[in-house]
Order: sequence, then C-alpha cells, then structure tokens
Amino acid sequence: MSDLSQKIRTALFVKLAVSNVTSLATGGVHYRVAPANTNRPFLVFDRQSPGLVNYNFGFTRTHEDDLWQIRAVTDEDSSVAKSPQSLGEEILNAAITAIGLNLTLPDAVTWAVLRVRDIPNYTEKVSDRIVFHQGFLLRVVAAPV
Amino acid sequence: MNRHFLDHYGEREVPRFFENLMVRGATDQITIYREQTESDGAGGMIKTATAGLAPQSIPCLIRGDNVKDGSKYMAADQMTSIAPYMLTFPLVYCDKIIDVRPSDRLKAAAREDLPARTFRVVSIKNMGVRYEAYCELENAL
Repeated sequence: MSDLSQKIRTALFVKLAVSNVTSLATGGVHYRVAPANTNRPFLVFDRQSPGLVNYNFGFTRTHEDDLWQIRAVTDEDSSVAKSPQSLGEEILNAAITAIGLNLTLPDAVTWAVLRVRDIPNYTEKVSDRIVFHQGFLLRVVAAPV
Repeated sequence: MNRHFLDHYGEREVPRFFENLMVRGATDQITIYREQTESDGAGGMIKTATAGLAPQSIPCLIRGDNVKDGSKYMAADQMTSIAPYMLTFPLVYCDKIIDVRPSDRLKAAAREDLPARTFRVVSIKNMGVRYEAYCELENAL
C-alpha cells in the first residue's frame, strides 16, 4: 500500500468514525476486519481495487486513482426495530453523508471522492443466524502536493 | 398436557433429580428463547421478540461435547470461534412438558464466576424423560 493510500485510509476512518455513523453501526468502524469480540452491526472499509499510479513525463507521481469498498455488516440480531437490510442501508447512507466530497490529507489533495457504484448484496451464515453485507465502492483520486 | 407417554419416573423423579442437583449448585439454569419475525413492509425481516418461554430457570447440565470438535474461522469479516456443548435437561419441569425447538436459544444464567451465556441450538433429541440439546457457544457470549 502506498503512502498516499495510508493517508486516505486514515482520512476515511476519521470521516466514518463519527456519531452519525456509529450510532447506527454500534460495533464501530474497522479497516478490513473487525476484532473477534465485536458485535454487529459494524462498518468495514478496505481498498478494494488499487488503480494505476499515474506519473508525468518526468516520472514524478501525479495522482493515484483507487476504489475503496465501504460495507455495512448486519445480522438478524442487530435490531428489534429494523430489518438488517434496512439498517444496513441506513448505515451506508450515514457513511455517504459523513464522507462528503473530499478528504483532508496531509501533503496531498483529493481530486475526486465519489460513490461510483454499489456492490452486490450478499449473505452468509454464522452459527444460527444470517449475516447481511451491503456496501458501495468509493472512487478516491488523490495527488501529492 | 398429553402425558400418556410419560410415566411417574419421567413426570416426577427425573424433574426432582434435576431440582436436587440445582439446589446443591450442581447444575446451571437455562431459559428458552424463541425467535419471532415479522415483515418490515419491504420484504425484510424484523426479529420482534426473543421472550423467554415458560417454564423458566430450568435446571440443566452443561458439558462440552466430547464427540464434536470446536472450530475457529473467518466469517463476516471477523474471527469467529464455535465451541460445541451438550445440554441435558428434563422433559417435564414445573408440571409442564418443555417446548423446545432447534431454532430456539438456551440462555444460561450467570452462575458463581461464570457470566450468562447464550447457547445456540443445533439439534434437540427427546430421550424419553430428558432432552439432550446439541448447542454451539460463540466467542461473543
């Protein structure tokens, strides 16, 4: 992972780990995996699809263009008032609002921070219940300054 | 209550045996929780209640299953560990035949230094005068 991606990772976490998101995703926000003792619902994010690192003619890096995945993980026990499907959507909406259209990066700027597509929803079984995964891909174009 | 298949042993002696064990602190106490779901109006499902069923605080022998091994694996973006347990409790308790199903959860009350634990039922066997429930205990109690 490049230094720029590390900065994006930190900036995304700062944007996502706010009360508007964590009041819904009570298990918190985690990079790639959640700790074993974390109860759902929670939010995970990861750099799903690293893009090309772009250079100018002098081989100076100009920008990086990556897709990040932001995914809500809920299960049947996550809420007694909402379905896990609805709760997952609410978490994602809160995440989209929280991220906004830019990230604050040290020694770098974002040229684009855009939700470009949703991921296909999928489910899996853990012990005696169904876990629901819903998420979206976020395109982040960032350039060092 | 349809008791034609139960004799005095099953109705009286076995529950009394479990009660005596419980009085001596030799058993745990479990309560059966049943899941109910309803539609969220858009095809989703909401679990509306996990109320404890009567009778509650049933004396129960809890032991690790010596046949099946536990496991630890990655699932739902986190490390999950599963430990198999066998729970044994009477078929009749408080003068009622206990209604327990494979989709239920058995919650053991906190006891001495042990916290409350949720056992997730995999299968139930009616052994005539007692139930044997094969359950799983997760890392998150």
